[in-house]
Amino acid sequence: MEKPVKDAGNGSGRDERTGGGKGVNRRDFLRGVAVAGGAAFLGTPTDVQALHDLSGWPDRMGMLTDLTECVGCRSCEAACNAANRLPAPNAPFDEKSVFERKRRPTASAYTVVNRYENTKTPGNPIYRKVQCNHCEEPSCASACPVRAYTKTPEGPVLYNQDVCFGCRYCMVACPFYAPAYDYDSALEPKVVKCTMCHGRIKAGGIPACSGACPMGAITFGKRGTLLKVARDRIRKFPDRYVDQIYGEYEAGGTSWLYLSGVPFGQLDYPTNLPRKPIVENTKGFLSAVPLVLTLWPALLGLCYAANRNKEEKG
Amino acid sequence: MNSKAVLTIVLCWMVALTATLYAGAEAPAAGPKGKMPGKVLLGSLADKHGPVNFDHEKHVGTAGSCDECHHQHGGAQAPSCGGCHAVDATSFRKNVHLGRIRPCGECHPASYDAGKLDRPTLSAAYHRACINCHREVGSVGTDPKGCAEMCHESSAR
Repeated sequence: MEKPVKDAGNGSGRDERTGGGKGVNRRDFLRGVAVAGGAAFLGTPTDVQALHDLSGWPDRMGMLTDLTECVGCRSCEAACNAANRLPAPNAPFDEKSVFERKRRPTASAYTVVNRYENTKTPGNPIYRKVQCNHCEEPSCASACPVRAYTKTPEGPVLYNQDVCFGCRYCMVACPFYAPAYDYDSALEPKVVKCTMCHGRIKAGGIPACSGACPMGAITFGKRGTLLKVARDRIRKFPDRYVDQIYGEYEAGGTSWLYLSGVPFGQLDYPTNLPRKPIVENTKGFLSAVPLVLTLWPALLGLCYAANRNKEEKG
Repeated sequence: MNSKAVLTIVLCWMVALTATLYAGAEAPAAGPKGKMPGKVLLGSLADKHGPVNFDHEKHVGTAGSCDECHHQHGGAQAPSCGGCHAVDATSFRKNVHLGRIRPCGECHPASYDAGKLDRPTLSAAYHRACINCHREVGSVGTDPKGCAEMCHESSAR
């Protein structure tokens, strides 16, 4: 996993410690080396701090799905299937019977569209596109023991099959049930999920689903711009939208944002998510581990040595 | 020059004029008092699917007002003032205040434009204008039959 490149945080701290050789005596120098070396070796506290602030990536991209525009044509599903060279589905993409049950993304479909009753205007069903939301601070990445997940500066959260050993902690950690598992290949563990078409973005294109949507319901752009666009729509059409951009704060914020005409809870969006990143739940504990492991043996050893000296004298 | 030659030239000129008018039908410059197009061939984006031969005259009778599809000052579809005036204030004043309907493509980008995320692309604008009234008609998936059922000519693709 690439380390986030930022101005603030651990980078500048390290400069202070190692930079400026003038007027540093030997003891200070050794102390500095020990502290810097320890921090670099243990890594934990600075890494977690680095996760919290993405201000170093102001140009990260996002997606804005306007649920009031989606008409359930499933063109996005078809485009995703083609762009990722996924196997052909059992039923063609214009088959409407798939809406009879709620689907989840699978190893052969990175995105699915589900249908919901519209409580506001009955008869006009609401369609909800489901895929990985590409969290700002992804809990899948923090749960993964082998760092198979990377939050890229462009926004997408990517998965690396080469290091994955198939524990599926990421599937448990994801609050949106996004990662799916390829159960058909038992010997080669493979978690599959939407990549937000990272390759296309890098090449200057836009994600396949966004380009294929005939209604313009999926807008691709800088996350910051999309938030402004979304707020603008709510302000201009207060009767059309509920006053919430789902994904702005949920679980610390997601790359994928949503606008809806009915409360998100009615569309099976998890509404009990904290505003702080889920990573924060384990941050305190994990950052204490290296301290406990290094300081406690030293302190207890000192106590033991002091007491043994007393015993010997007494 | 005999009369036959004159007649030929006049005929050619008329044919050319008709062709020009038909080609320009996608951006009808309808004046304030009528001259509305009968049929409009929406084909500038035809790619996967054929163009749409839109029966404007028929919709004039069935839609409540022009505002159902076209932006008009004060109408329900009207974007905010800045949404258009900032784009080209002069042409906006000249045309919209005279009651003229401008071609959709003047504001709606034909393809993805990162600088215009606040408005739908031309394709999305067309689709919204039709589908929001004609919801649940035909299917719009990968099968060109679905798209051709209602609107698109099936010849392309």
